[in-house]
Amino acid sequence: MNIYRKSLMDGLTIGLGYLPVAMAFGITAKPLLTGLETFLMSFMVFGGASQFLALQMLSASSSAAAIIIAVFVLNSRHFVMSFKINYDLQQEALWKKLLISAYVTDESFALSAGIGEDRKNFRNYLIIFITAYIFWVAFSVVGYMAGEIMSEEWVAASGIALYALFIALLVPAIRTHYKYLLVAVLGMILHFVFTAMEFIPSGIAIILAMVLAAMFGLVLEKRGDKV
Amino acid sequence: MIMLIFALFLATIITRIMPAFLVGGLNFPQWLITLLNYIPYAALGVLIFPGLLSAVETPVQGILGGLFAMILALFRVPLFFIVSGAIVFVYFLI
Repeated sequence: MNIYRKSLMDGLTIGLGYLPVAMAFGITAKPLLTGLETFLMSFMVFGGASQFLALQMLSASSSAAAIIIAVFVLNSRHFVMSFKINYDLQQEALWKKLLISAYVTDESFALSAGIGEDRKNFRNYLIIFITAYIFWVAFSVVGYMAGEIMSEEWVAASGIALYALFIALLVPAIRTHYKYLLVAVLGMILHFVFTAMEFIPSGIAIILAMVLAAMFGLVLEKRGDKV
Repeated sequence: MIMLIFALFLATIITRIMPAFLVGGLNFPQWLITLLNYIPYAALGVLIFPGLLSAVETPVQGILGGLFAMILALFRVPLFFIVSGAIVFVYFLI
């Protein structure tokens, strides 16, 4: 298959994973935002967890400052992800790196980490990221407009979509080496523990768990070298 | 509201684009590269759990849905069908 077509398919896959989540966002936003605001939120913020958090805080009538800080902390995990992507795109011009970085999400990051070296360049990343982005924005609006048509059960069931996508992305890596399973499971445990400690903000808990689990991978690698 | 959305835009874009300025052709030590290579797998673990427990109506349904997705993935089912398959599976659980 042509490599660009392959990237387009990857973008579609993420986009279809977004579809139910984006629709759920549109449906949830309806009582709180206008159609234009719902569109702008997905168009400019482009972050599922951040957008849902903002809605949640809006309905709890939190202050604007509190919402902004919470979203900043929650979204700061993208710093680590974007760092890795920029490392892979080191040879590209700055404006290209900036453009790609602006569209980093958990899903596009996880998928792009697993693609072949031949596709780790500006064009392929752009195709994957922008395709996913279009789905996110379009289906937020569709959800807003058509929310009532979907039954409540389907909306609830679609909550599994992103998790199914994450699991589907993790399994092939585990197949190549069990050390990836160890790192992923440690990440799960750490995140669970940090979440249980209520004094740690959720955004910080994610970053801490992510970096510590990756450091464990580094330790595994180092020990492997010596043996 | 538009002002808030714009502020949220800034709050989310800053952390995303900052690394583009930092990673400017400089050489990284080997340990950092190895660490970066593990980040995706650590991130996937962190993103899956404990969020999976609150993904759908009950934690058990979430875990069953996750297991179903895992089985499909082990059989090398294409991504799109894993995602839509898991939704249909959870729909019938509810």
